[in-house]
Amino acid sequence: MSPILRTEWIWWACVAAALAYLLTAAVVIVSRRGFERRRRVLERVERHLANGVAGRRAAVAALGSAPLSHLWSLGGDASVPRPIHHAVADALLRRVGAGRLSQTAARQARWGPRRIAALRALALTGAPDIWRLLALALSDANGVALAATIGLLGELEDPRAGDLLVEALKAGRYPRSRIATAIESSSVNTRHLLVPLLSATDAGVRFWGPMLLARYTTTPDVTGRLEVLASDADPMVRKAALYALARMGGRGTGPVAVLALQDPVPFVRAYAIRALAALSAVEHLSAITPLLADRDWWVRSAVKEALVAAGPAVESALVPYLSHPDYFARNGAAEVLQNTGGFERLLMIEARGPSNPRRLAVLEMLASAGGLRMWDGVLLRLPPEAQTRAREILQTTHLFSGA
Amino acid sequence: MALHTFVVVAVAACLAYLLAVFAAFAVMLVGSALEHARLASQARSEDYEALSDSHFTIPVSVIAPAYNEEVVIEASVRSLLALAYPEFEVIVVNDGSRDGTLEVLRKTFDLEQREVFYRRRFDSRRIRGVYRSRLYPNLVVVDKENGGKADALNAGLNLARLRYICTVDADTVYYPQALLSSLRLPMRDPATIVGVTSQVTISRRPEEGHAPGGTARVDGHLLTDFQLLDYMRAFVNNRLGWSRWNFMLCSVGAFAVWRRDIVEQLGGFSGAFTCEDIEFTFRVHEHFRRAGLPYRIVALPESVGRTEGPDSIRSLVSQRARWQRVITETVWHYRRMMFNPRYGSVGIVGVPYYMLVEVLAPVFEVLAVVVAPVAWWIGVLEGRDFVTMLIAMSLANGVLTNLAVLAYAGGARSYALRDLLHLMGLGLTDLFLYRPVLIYAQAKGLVDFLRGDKEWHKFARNRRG
Repeated sequence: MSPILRTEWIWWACVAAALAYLLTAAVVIVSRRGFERRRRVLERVERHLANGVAGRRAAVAALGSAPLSHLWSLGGDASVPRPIHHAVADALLRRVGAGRLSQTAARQARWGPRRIAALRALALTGAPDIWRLLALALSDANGVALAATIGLLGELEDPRAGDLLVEALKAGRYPRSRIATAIESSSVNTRHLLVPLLSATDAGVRFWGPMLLARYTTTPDVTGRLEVLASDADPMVRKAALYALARMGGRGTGPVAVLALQDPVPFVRAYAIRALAALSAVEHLSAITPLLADRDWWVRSAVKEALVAAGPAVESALVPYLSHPDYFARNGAAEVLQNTGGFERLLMIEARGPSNPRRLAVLEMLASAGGLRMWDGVLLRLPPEAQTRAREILQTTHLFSGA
Repeated sequence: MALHTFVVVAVAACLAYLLAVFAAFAVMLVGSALEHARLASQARSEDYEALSDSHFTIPVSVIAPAYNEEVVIEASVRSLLALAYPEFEVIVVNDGSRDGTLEVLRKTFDLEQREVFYRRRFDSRRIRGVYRSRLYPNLVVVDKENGGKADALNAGLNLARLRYICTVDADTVYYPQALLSSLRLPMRDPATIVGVTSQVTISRRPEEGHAPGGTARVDGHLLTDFQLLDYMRAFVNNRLGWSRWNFMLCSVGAFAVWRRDIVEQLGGFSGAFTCEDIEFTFRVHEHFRRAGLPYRIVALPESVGRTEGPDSIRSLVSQRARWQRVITETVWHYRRMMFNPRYGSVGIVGVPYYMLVEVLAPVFEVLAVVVAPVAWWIGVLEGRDFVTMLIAMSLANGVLTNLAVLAYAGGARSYALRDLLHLMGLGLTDLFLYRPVLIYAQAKGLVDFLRGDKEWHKFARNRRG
């Protein structure tokens, strides 16, 4: 015996550790084998499903001989492909029966793959009491339950699924962005349910109305209401209205977005710029371009993106900004001209000659606003025969002499 | 007599330390198992398909600092560009590489130099050029003078345009679901969840294919497989527990998602430490705990990619010594949090746990290695008892390994059964074949810390065939 530890303690510790090792190793092996069996079932079902209607029957039959635990597990797993979910639903209905499935789906005490699988099976097989069960699940306090139910509702092609989702959005018992994702992915037309959200008293609900309506084609009444929301008291709602107007278009969008360029909140101004760019940045150049000198970085970035997306048509309007008193307006204009290819084209024309004093003046302003590194980048993109002359032009600028 | 007393006390101290560490592991294991079950259940209910096409996800700027990564950079950036996520940009920061990293990027992604005017919120070394890809509009490459990883991350932050940032390593190849699986939690609760981290697996050559669904092979290289086990144990057995009790103290540099406003508010990443990731995580905890604001930093069980693990003992020692130094530096810097109730679970459990399991480990391990033979020699420990104890420790280590393999395999299902058996077998030999290397590396790291070493000591890339 050691003076510190008794021999029998060490032996018992060793035996306990050995047993624990064997037990955990066995669990790993059993769990892995179970997973492999489930995978083989899945592969067999997938092969059957590739063969149309007859294949669907064969798939259900294949699932009929699989362990029931696999069916619960497959039915409760959102990552399983949808056609397989349908086959699993049929197989569960046959093997478990509608009555027991309803009981499992209604059991609020515990959330797990079984309850989700039961709900899914009943929903996909069109069980009569499924809408009551889904509504019950939406009132559950458990986040997993809510997530699974909302995901399931997004998959269903029944208008009642849309009703439940929009109700869940209004209730806000689960993150609204995730409910919005389910509504967005749903094939159910929820337009008529979303329009009333535009006049909801809760700004959180009002926000999601325009965001979700944006994917539908507009009608004059909706556009009119969105235009009103563009001056809502809540900046998030104003942003959402501009987002929707940008995607839907509409005659009144331009003036509303131009007005929003004066909004005190920077992200609303940025969305107004995007809305105008979606309509036509070229048409609204005089409204957008001054915001190159906006006090907020994100607004300036939005202007630059909008102008670059509009392409060469905006170039001449940018020239005055190359000598703007605001530093950010100057370098923003230069950056846009670099990215539209205007700088490059101008340099090419000048390099090919004959020289033009007005053009040289613009190039000098560009070099000054954009800096040597921008010039270097442009030079590299020129064809080799133009590069020598372009370098000579650079040498005539103040930028070069100062460098 | 004095020697006998010293040895008895030393052996008792080592045994007490061993018991304390195993007890701490056991508690973390329980927390990790509960968290794993919760997150796995959440993940099963997620509709990833709908999420990957949604307009309502959070846009993310992925920042990948790269220093001398010419071998793996192409695969790494390609994997980032292939992320299944609706809106993201990839900012690769070439931190003054002395190899062909920039050239590989330039050729592979058809880069052209573009001047970009950005907000300089954080200081960084001089930027030599910014490149945009003609092939991938969401790829930006920043070429800058060498300034270290934190400096490169800060340079990337200056150019980041989106609401969340994800810091990644340029020697890691990411799986397509990486962003989607980690952003799903902030999307549920963006106000509270300020950071997310996840685990990576180890490979000698991460750029060589990945076969999901139980057909991937472990590397088959002993040192690399031991590291794989080490990663599994660290992530699955420990960090999920830390996450459950909200003292997740290490959002790993290989994959950490942060809310950008928090990073900006806290002044970006610090170059004052050998490595930026642990220190920044501590800083976030300190900020929120002091302000009394609700927040969470969450660890996820999913593996998001494969990173290159050193395949030589010399490289491994260099890497692990750096890690030890980083942990010690950070715990020392934030020692004011230790046992301080103001910092809640971070101060009461997290920092002391780090101190016990990481910082003090080399002290007791070296002591045990030195004292055990002496104790045997002078009869304080009987030979048979000593051997039995080693076997018991090895088996206990094996149990921890099995549980990590069980949880990992239950989540990722990437390795075939024969490989899981191989890993479980390795778990039994870990104490004798792998742990001695780590003890040496940790002891070296501690000495380096005491000497004030702040160098990165990047390990040499593994040789490719």
